[in-house]
Amino acid sequence: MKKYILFIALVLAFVIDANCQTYVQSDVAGETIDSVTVGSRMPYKVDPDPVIAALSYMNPSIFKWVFSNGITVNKEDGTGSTSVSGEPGYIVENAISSVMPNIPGTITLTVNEKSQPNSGTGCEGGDQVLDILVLPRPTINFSGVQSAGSCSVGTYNLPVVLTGYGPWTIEYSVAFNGGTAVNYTITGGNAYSCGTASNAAGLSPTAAFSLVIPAAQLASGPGEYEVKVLNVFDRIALKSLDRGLVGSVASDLPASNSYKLYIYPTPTTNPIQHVRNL
Amino acid sequence: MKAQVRIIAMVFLALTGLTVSAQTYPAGMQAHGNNSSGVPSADEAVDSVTIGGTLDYFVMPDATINPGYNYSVNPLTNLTSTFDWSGTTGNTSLLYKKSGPTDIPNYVQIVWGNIAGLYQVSVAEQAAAGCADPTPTIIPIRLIGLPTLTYPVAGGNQAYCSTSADGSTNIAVSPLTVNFSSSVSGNKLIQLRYTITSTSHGTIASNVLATVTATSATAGTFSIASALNYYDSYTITLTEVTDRIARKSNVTGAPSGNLTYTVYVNKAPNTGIIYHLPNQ
Repeated sequence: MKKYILFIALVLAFVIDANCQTYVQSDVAGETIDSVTVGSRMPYKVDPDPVIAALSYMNPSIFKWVFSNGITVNKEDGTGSTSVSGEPGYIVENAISSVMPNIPGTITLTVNEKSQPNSGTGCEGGDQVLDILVLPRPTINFSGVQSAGSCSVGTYNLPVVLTGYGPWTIEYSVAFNGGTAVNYTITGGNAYSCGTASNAAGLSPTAAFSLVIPAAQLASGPGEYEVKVLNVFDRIALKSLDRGLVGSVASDLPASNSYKLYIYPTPTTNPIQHVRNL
Repeated sequence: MKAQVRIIAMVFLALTGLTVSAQTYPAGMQAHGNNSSGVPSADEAVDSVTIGGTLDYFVMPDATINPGYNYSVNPLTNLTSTFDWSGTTGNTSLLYKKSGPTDIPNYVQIVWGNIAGLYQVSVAEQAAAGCADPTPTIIPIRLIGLPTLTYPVAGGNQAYCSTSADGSTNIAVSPLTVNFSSSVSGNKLIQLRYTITSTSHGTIASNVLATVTATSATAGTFSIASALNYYDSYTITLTEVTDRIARKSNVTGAPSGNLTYTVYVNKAPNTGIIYHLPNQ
């Protein structure tokens, strides 16, 4: 029996460009303001006017990108943009990236396309403006009673308090009996994620989540397991093209960044001894 | 009686016992030395003609010898005198105007030569009875060169932007500057003709007449008569130049040097919506 595979192309206002970035148009509901994390490197793009691009006597258009706070505009890959001789302020690129400011607030991004006819002076199109909301990095704290222990190895739900916008991704380490810590990270594919996009804690901490330590990470034997948080990312921070720019600083992490779990040894009861019968 | 010769004159004679009809002359002419109002003017002391020009000259016959002559009724009736134009210089040809197949002896068309300078039209009337005027009537003719015309620089251009639909851009081109030269004294009244061609829409206008508004003795501006309505590259080519004497002389000059000027009408782009990474 033939199997018919039906592909349904769901056409949304999403675009995946050559660099595998999933962009969304800023006129989509919920996307009219771009939320970014302080210090993140964010990409932006516009599609060149297809009518202009189709004209045989036109060279590719050029673009003027201006952030209201004057931050530098680079290529999408982070390298320097390409200036256009005789066109101050304009660059070749219709896709850019920039490092966001380190202070939360609101900035704007304005872009203008200018045509480039083979001969003569080009024409400026109208401006497009995008509001950008710069948010602080998410934070994480431990809650609950420290020094918890168990007589058997099992999954442990370490209570945490989070700020930011879910889902969150937590990178952490576990060290057994003071030994070398084992890191669980995004790069390693074993960081921990919790929450959903509907969890918008913002600056108001939410204690609704736990950092779940799998049993396998507590299986080195009876002893002390020390958990430390390395980084916490929310969904806004993970938009950054360079994750290293939005890693947690000390103030984002638990003040006392050490949570100890104990696996207690289970004794083996010895045989009962008595006076011999004979 | 010495023959009296008036070139292009309207003379009313009242002789004892005789009345003479009005002596009309060809339309558009006036007596040498008079302005358009019939008043003697120093500006008309020398007849200015552009080299190569073709002009008509008429002399009113002596009314005493040719009584009843009325050009407008019949250019040959009551005309008994003959006229000697041989003293004319600077011309390449001199032909009688005709009434039907017959030459009109007091009315000629002169084609002037191509060398600028001071020349003359000379005519002497000879009565049918044989008496000739020993002193021809002479008017000085100054042959002057054709005017010249050029755009000031090669590759001159303007660019316009529009957001209108193609075919409705309605671009009014700013007046274009030209340089010219003319030997005409006083108001030169330079006119030119231009042709507009386009890259994608063919010939837009052909040999359109425009008056140059002088900004100096050697430069001026002219305006394009019609708006440009398509997104295209337009070439405005100078095809002809005249000054007031060249037009009088029925000659036109050919512009030389920088003959083309380009106007670009470009569509302004619609800057697209900004894309960013999704918040959700």
